[in-house]
Order: sequence, then structure tokens, then C-alpha cells
Amino acid sequence: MKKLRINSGEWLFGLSGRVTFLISAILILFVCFVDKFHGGKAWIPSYTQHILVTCLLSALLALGLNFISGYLGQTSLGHAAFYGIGAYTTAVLLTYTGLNFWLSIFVGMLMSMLLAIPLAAASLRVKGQFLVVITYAFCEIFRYIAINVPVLGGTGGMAGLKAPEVFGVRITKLAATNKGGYMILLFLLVSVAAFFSWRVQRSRVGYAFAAIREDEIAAEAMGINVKYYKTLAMVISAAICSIAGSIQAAFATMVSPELFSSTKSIQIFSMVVIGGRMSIKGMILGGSLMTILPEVFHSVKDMAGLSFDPWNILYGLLLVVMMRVRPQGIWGRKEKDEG
Amino acid sequence: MLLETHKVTKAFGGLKANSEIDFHIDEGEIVAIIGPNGSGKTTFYNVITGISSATSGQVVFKGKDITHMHPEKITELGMARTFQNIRLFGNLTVAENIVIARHCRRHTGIWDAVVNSKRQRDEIATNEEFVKKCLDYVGIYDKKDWIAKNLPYGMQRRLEIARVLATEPSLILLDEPAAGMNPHEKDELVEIILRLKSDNYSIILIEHAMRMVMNIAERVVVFDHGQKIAEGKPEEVKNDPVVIESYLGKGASGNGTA
Repeated sequence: MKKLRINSGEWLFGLSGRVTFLISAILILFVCFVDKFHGGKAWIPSYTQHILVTCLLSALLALGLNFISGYLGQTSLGHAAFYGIGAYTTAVLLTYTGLNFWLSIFVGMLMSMLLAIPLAAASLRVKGQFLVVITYAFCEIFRYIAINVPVLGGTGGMAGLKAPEVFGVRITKLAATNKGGYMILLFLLVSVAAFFSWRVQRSRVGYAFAAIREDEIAAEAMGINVKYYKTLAMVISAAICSIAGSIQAAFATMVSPELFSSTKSIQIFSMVVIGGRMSIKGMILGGSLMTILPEVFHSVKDMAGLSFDPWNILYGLLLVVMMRVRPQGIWGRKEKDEG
Repeated sequence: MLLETHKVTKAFGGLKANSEIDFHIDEGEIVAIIGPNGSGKTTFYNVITGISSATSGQVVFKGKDITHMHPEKITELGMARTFQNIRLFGNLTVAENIVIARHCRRHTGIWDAVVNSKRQRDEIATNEEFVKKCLDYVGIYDKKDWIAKNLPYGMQRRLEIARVLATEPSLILLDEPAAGMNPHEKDELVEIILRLKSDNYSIILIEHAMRMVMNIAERVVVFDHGQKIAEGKPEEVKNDPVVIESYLGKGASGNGTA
């Protein structure tokens, strides 16, 4: 009846974070370099690598939103805004100033962090459906800016971005295929974001987030500055999503207002919900699932010769079933015990 | 004088929930605030703890004007409260509830967490000490790994007190701590409050359980319709006709005693 909290490990199969990192690093390196060392047909087709890169990008986005929707427990349907801001900042800087790509990531982060502050201020005292509207509207503002400002390329966006270089080597030339370099880069970034989340989660700051999630008034009464920590979470979250955006811009060699679409925001939010709020491995799983499943069903469509994409139907169904059967997400901590 | 209020008024539109209240408490004192439902007791708590700030008047705590201070700063100064409708961090463990309450006495930031600095490790160590100390104080240390909301009602109330202690307060505000408790739980609560008193904490107590108030309070303040209508020793207040009238209605005071 009165359950103890199950202290499940944060990493896979009860392994420590270090071991999980090493195993996944070996896997990623294998995928990147295996085709360099044997002749003949590639083992890992470029298409698979593309999906892997997208998985890692999604995981990074989910880890970013996790600070708001996981640790703070607030709904945001506007995180595509930061994703887009990162991407556009990089695109603009690369196109018009020829700034170094790596620096443009930091400029994008700064932009996102600055713009996160007014969003946090606007959403300080609101919750639930009101917050959804605010965050959604926030993102729409940037979509319209992207469409209507001529230097940003209008609806077509900006294309022809140059691939970044690592010590003078094009990132696309690093591994066996042109995707490999991005895979390694994103793997490192996801690892850093996961490590960061994991350390913050159990710290004074993480407990402050937890207190705000549980009860704002009690949190205030316990000496927690709710405004400060809500803003902090938004800024961290914006920074992480912005990095994902910058990489996406370079990876796709283009940006378009589609980055700011509400579909993207909802997709990021579903990754967090499906993976399990507050769970780090859940974020990586949620991000990957939401990337792989559409591709799987797309190939089902091609094979079965269907005239429609079954994923579009199943996506909605999956969310409905998930919310009924396992509202805490795949790896989420159960929130409502039956006493 | 630990806490003093001068003509504190809190108005919601035209309604004065608190009207020109003068109140004070000395160090080591237990003061009870009583009054019918809706007489402005909890509003008064909200005003002095900074959750909502006074429309006019002044609140002075430890010689500092805290009228418009943020609640987290007031907690840092050494005032902490419990809530009438228990407000624990329900989905977290009992120990985590205490750790959160340590927030205002700790100073680590994100970078301490990321690099696991010495400061961070020291604080984790002192947290454990405090979890033990505070939970032992109210006698629920054996429940430290429970999810807070799964605790029996009486223990939830005690955890709220433990959580208050973890903020290292000098003034504790209890808002109907005995509400919904059975007689046995009430006795345990009285024991805890008296222990707090002997450990030199100052306590303000809002309570409806009159027997308890009369037993432990040194001074009783009576609120009605947002105003302070009486103040004095428990026996004095008990026999004050104005107080009896506010509780039982006009005419009841004619009989002398309640």
C-alpha cells in the first residue's frame, strides 16, 4: 500500500554513467568508421546514419525541454523557438559575416538565453493551458519574423551553408560518410547535456526545481526564489535547444521557417512525455523513438504500397494510449501513487 | 521584540481581510491567534511571511522592515511557517523534503553541482546531518525514505514541522497544526510544541482546538472580521465578553462565562 520510492538507476541496465558512456561511444565510433576499413558495399547506409543523427538531435532537444517540462513540470509548446533561433543565428552569421561555426553556436546560445528571459517573465505566474498559449505564441512570433524579414530568406529560408571544420578538416570528411562527423559531435553534446542534467538534478538547484514543481507556494515559504529558478530553467533549456538548432542548420546546410513550426514544438514535447519526464535515458529514448518510428512506418507504407502514411494515424493513437496507460512516460517516475 | 506589526492592513478590493493590526511577539514566547473562520488569521500569516504583502502598515522582524520583502528572503531571515492545508512536496521522499528546506542556508550553484566541488560535497554531508536531526526531533526518522504523501496524516503534519526546523528559524508560524488530528496525535503535537518552546524557538500558533491553545499559549490574540478584538493571558481572553460574543453571537455574553 504505502510504497517506497523505487530508486531506479538513471542509466541503462543499472550500469554506471561512465560505462554507459563508454559503450555508446564505442557503438557510435563503430557506426562511423566501420565502412572505412572494409571494401565493398557499406554496412551502415547513409540513410541509417541520417536517422541516427536526427535521433541524437532529438535527444538533445528533449534533454533541453526536460528542464522545463520535466524538472519544473511545466508545459511548453514553444521550444521550437529556441531551436530555430539557434539555427537562424548560425545561418545568418555564416552567410553574412563568415564567422567561425563554433563561435556561432555560442552566439546562438546567447541569443536564445537572452530571449528566454522575457518568455520566463511572461510565464512566471501562469500554468497549464495559459502557459501553452504563451509559449505557442512566443514561437509563432519568430516564425513570422523568419518568414517576413527579407535578410532571413522569407519562406524559402537560407541555403548553402558551409560545413564546419574541425582542426582544418571538414566535419563531413571526418568519418566514412559525410554524416559521421555530425554523429560524433552530437554524441558528445548529448553526453555533456545528459551529464549536466544528471548532476543538476541532485543538486541544490535541482531540488529547488523539484520544490517548484511540487508546490510553488511551499517552495517560496521554504526560501526558494521561484522567479529566479523558473528563469534559470528556461535559460538552460533555451541554451540546449539552441545548440541543437545550430547543428541542425549546419547538418542540413540550410534553415527554413519550418524550424519554428508548432508541429516541431509539439514533437519535442511529445518526446519528453513519451520518454518519461525527468528521466535522462527517457529523453534519449523518447527522442529516438519519435524519430525512428515515423521512418519505420514510412518504409511500411512503401512496402505495402499504401496511399497514406500509417504513422500519421498511429502517432495520435500512440499518444492517446500512452496517456491512458502510462502517463508518466516510458521511464518516468510514477507521480500519482494510489495511496 | 522579535516580530512587530504596526497597523497592518490587507485589503482585497473593498474587503479588509486585516484591518490595522498591531501585533508583537518576544523571543521564546508562544502566542496563539484564535478567531472564527474567515476572521483573517491566515491572511495575517500570509502578510507577515511575505506571500502577500500588506496594503498598508509595517511589519518589522528582528529590527528589519520586511513589509515588502520577498518570502524567500524572510525565510532566510529566520521565519518559517506550516500550512493549514498541508503543503508538503508530496511526490518526493521525506528526506528530500528536508533537503529542500535547507535551500536557504546553502549557497551552491550550478557549477558546484557540475564539477562536484568541495562545497557541494560538504553540503551533502551536512544535509544528511540535518535530515537526521530534524526528523528525529519530530520522531519520524524511520520514515525518511517514504514518499511524503503516503505518510499518515499526523506524520505529514509533523514532517511540515521538521521541514520548518530545517530552515533554522527563530520564529515558527504554525497554521492549525492540530486540524484533523485525533486526540492521541494532538497530544504528540503538544509535546513537540512544548519541546520547541523549551529549545527557545518563538512560536505563533493559529488553532481552533481551544483546550490545546489554553494549555500551551502564553498569550492569546483574538481576531474577528479582520480586526484584533482582544489580547491577553488565556484565562483573561476566555472570559472576555467581546470574545464570547464573537464566537457565540450576541446575548451569549450576558451569562458571564462560556
